[in-house]
Amino acid sequence: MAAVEQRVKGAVLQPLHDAEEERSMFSRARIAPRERKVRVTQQLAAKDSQGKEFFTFAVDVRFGSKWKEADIVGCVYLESGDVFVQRGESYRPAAFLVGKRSKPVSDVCRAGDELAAR
Amino acid sequence: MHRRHALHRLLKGSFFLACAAGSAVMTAGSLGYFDDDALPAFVVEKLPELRFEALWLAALKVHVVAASFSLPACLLLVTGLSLKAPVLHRWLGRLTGVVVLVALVPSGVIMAFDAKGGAWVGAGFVVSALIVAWGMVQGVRSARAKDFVSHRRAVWHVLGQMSVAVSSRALLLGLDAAGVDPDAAYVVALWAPLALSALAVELVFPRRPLAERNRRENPALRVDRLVPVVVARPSR
Repeated sequence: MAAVEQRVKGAVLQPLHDAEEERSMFSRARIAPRERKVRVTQQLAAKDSQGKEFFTFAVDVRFGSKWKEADIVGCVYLESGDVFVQRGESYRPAAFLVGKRSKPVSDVCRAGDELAAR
Repeated sequence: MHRRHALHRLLKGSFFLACAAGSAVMTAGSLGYFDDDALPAFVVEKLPELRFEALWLAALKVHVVAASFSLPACLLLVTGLSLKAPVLHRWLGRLTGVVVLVALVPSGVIMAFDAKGGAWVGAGFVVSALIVAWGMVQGVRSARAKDFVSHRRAVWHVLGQMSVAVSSRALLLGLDAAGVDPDAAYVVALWAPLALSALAVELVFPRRPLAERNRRENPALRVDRLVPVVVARPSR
């Protein structure tokens, strides 16, 4: 679990924090939350349709004293280190959150049996 | 009287400085919208849920360019410097009117339908856009009719609503510092400056009295038409 949290912090939280530090105060974007917290939402790794193991996670955010759950959700592939985040119905590489153009990646972050059921 | 005049000058000067500085900061911060390699945070937040993505992205670029020109232009138009140069004032006014009515307002309305903060914020942007459009049309009509009292009032409504772009962001930062829930903050930070700007213009620039308007609309009642008749009588 700690490895998943570390990977999410490195691939999602830190880049987001750095981008928010650089951003103009008068940006049209949402004001940065005061705090972010990673939750690993799966105790055991799941396998996608290609048999690769992944863990799902959620990032909770705090504005003022109020926490908003699952502001960001996604999954981590510990073996490759890949991190994906959900946008709409699809998943994209985590770098999308800091503005890297990237297309949705199919068949990731979904268990093989879940995909078979779809 | 001197103290009141000084206070008026101070308030007006502060308003101008805040709007000019805010406009410059927003323009500088908007350059990222034209970078093809990276998506700005404001766009990332919207994707991929936008209903008409290509239209919205085009509207954003048009709006940013139009706003970068319109707000400084409106500030310049109401300064003494521009008023002392009527030809410059007229041509800059015409250009600003076209940019506002053809680019700024339509693009703002398109973006309002996918506004962050939901229907109340979207409605706020549409109301603000309607005030700007109405103010600009009235401003042009009254200038053409040489009714400069109405012209001043109408164009200050345009500038008042444009200043909401600056005051709303400043208020949003204040509400965040006070720990206000962001969803509520978006609604308050838009509607409060929007309504207060409209109210301030109504209070500072009162409507022309009815009797004076009637004289203007009915040329037979105008003093300059009546004077020759009165003067002509004794000479008969």
